[in-house]
Amino acid sequence: MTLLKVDKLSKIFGGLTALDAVSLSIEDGEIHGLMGANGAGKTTLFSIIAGNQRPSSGTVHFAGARIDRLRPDQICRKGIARTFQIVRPFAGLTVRDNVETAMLFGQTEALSPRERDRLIGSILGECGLDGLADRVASSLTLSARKRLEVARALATGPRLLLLDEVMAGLTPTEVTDMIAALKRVKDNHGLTILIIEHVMSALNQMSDRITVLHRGQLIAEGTPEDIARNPQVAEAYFGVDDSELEGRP
Amino acid sequence: MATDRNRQAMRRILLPLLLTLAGAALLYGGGLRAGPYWQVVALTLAMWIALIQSWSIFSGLTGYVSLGHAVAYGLGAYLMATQFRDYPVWVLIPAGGALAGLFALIVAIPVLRIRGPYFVILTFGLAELVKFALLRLETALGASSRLLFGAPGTTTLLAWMVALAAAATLLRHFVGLSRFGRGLIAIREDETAAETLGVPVTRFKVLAFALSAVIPGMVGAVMALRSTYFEVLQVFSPTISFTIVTMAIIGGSGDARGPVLGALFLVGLSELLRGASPQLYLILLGLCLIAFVLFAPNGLSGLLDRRRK
Amino acid sequence: MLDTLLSGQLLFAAAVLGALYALIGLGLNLVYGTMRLLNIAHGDFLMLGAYGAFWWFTLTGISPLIALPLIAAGGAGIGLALYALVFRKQLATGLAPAVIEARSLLLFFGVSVVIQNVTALLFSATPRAYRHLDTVYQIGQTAMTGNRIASLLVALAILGGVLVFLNRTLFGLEIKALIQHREAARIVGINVSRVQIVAIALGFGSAAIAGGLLSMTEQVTPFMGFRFTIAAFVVIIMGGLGNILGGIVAGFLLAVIEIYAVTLFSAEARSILIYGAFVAILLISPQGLLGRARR
Ligand SMILES: Nc1ncnc2c1ncn2[C@@H]1O[C@H](COP(=O)(O)OP(=O)(O)OP(=O)(O)O)[C@@H](O)[C@H]1O
Ligand SMILES: [Mg+2]
Repeated sequence: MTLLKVDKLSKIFGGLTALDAVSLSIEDGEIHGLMGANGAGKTTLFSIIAGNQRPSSGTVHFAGARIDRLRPDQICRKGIARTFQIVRPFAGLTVRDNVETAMLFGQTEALSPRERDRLIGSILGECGLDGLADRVASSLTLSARKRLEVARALATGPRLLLLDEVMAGLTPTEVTDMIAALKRVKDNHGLTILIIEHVMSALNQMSDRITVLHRGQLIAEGTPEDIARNPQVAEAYFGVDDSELEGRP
Repeated sequence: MATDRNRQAMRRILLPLLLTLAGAALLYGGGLRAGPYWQVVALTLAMWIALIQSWSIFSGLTGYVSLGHAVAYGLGAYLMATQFRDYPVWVLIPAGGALAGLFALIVAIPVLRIRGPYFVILTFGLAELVKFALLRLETALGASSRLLFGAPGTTTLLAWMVALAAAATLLRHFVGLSRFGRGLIAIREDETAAETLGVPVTRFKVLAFALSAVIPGMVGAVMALRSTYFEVLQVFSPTISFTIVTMAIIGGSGDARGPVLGALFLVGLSELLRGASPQLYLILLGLCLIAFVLFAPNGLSGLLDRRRK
Repeated sequence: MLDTLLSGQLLFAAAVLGALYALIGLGLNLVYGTMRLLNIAHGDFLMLGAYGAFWWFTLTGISPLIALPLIAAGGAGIGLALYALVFRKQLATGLAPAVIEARSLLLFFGVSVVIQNVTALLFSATPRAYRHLDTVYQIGQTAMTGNRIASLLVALAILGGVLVFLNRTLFGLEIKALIQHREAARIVGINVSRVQIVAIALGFGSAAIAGGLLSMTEQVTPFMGFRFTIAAFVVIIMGGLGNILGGIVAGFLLAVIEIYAVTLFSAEARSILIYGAFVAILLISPQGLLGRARR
């Protein structure tokens, strides 16, 4: 069954086409990787799916219903949660309060305080944040903040989880831990995951299918093996000459 | 676990309730016994507590600093001053609150799209616009000032005002604990993240803005009875908004204690400076604001917390 | 009716006021643009300049025009003292820009209240005025007082001078670069704090000069500044942040609208109009100044 269907989605910023008629289907239960060089339009795609930005044209359907005109909070309650590439914790609140807030608003049915406590405990455990529950979010390391992003997204009770470079800036051991954690999380919560990552090995290990964006266009889609063999992808990823990389963060 | 929960309920619900009631009783009883002079001081203190707590429901929780709350106060006072002869007071006070809340509800939708410091100066500009527009209206009506005859005495007004202060304090405290309040705090911390995690930010901001105007409207209505004399420039004065913000910064707006501390501090200061020129008072107010923003941005209640830790 | 509207009299009045608006808008552009802090005390520096001119003339009897450099230095000095004592530390705290902006707004608010009330305490709240250069010159149908002509000419000269400075000198170009492309300016190696200091001195100094000029034709009171703070914001939002020329045009435009509104309706319409324009502009351009700056 198709859970998310993106149809001819375009986004134009001033004169810049960040997304150019991108169409994409995500099947229920898969882990779908999304890759592409800097500025390819990956985060923009997430922002539109999650309702943070409006598309210039095209549609998004989730579980059969059209969602591209909805507000982010409505989309969240329909079951889509995203993380932010540049993390956005509630800096002045504790880790527990961050997660609890997400739970209070993202979940469609109200939980009793006891159920909430239990669920918060298990989510913090899954994301390796057990010991940090009472720490103020602004005092966390980057790695912990990335895990908090995931924990908070999970707390909204999503069916589809959009992860935007949650492994960037992590050490190799942390990446390994994160991959294990994500797989566990997916099984425990019965999730579908769309994940953006530059660390290609990580993406290959996890993904059932991978989609590649290049300058706003979808240039390839398939299993990790297909993608690894695709000459267009190699061109797009490694064929860019140095002058184009300059000035990019 | 169960005792934990009980203790928490005690700390969060019972204790604030009892403290507020005790404070109200003290303020009212003390005011009654201490004679006319102290009644006025108690009335002033209760007025500021009611105003700052209400302000803090919106500004303390969402972080959107409103410099326009004088309008809510002024509208309540205006309603009382114009309708005093035709309607009983017990109708006009709640009506003043309703009018202020309704006005806030209407302006909130366009105004709350604006964020950050622009929001602050926008509320200020809007308040001045309302003031001058009403002034124009009053001039056109040929009523540059209005007198109220037969208003209730100070002790009655004190009782009402203390009730408003207590209501505002409890409202602030319990809104802060509620799901609604948690959403508002999330908006303060990061509006985009809050929205993405399911907080209906626009609805919450608008509701909080309107809610925070209701009690100030009622306070304005009561204060119109107190001064028995009404002038647009006075009741819509930006000094009211400025004083609210200053007291809130000095007291701290992170919880319901701060506004009480801030009001005590500044009413105490103005009592000390009684007889000195009003300018001196305002200068000290300005200096206190600067000092607290620079050295204790979380206010007196923040300092208390730090000491405890 | 149409005759009055098209008369040189109104246009002249609008030009005089417009030059002052352009001048304070320019000052605010410099201060806001380089520090990214909303200086809501800007009009109070105009008020200080007006008092400076008033006392200078009252005590010495010498034309306040002679004292303008002194007045400008006074405004710049107070502005720099504030920067050094209060705002430099804020800017260096490393807090989120939104927090710094919010706090600085409150700080400027406190500064504004202190300046106004210290002035009121020292000089009383009574409006002050003096007569200087009030000979009337008749040019065609238009009657012009000497002080208005002088005010217009001086303001234009200063506007011209600052424009040349900003566009023709390296330092001026650095200021403009900092206003328009903050991050890029840092990367290119512009010494930000040095540029800020000059821009602040220029910004506050020009506000004080505007006050000195205004005092020749309007009453001086401790609380006169706020109206001009608001006008200055309208001007720079209308003209575009960092767009010095746009700000000057906007200053004249606002003055024309204001003068005609006062003539057509009443003097009270002035406040309604200025605040109305202010609110409308902020609502229409929700990102306010920043939205334009990013473009
Ligand atoms: N709000 C915006 N306004 C204007 N341009 C934007 C905006 N957001 C993104 N862009 C531009 O759109 C393009 C796509 O950006 P996007 O952030 O989606 O890329 P990305 O694939 O996530 O890149 P990265 O790997 O660096 O995160 C970029 O050129 C970017 O500069
Ligand atoms: Mg990205």
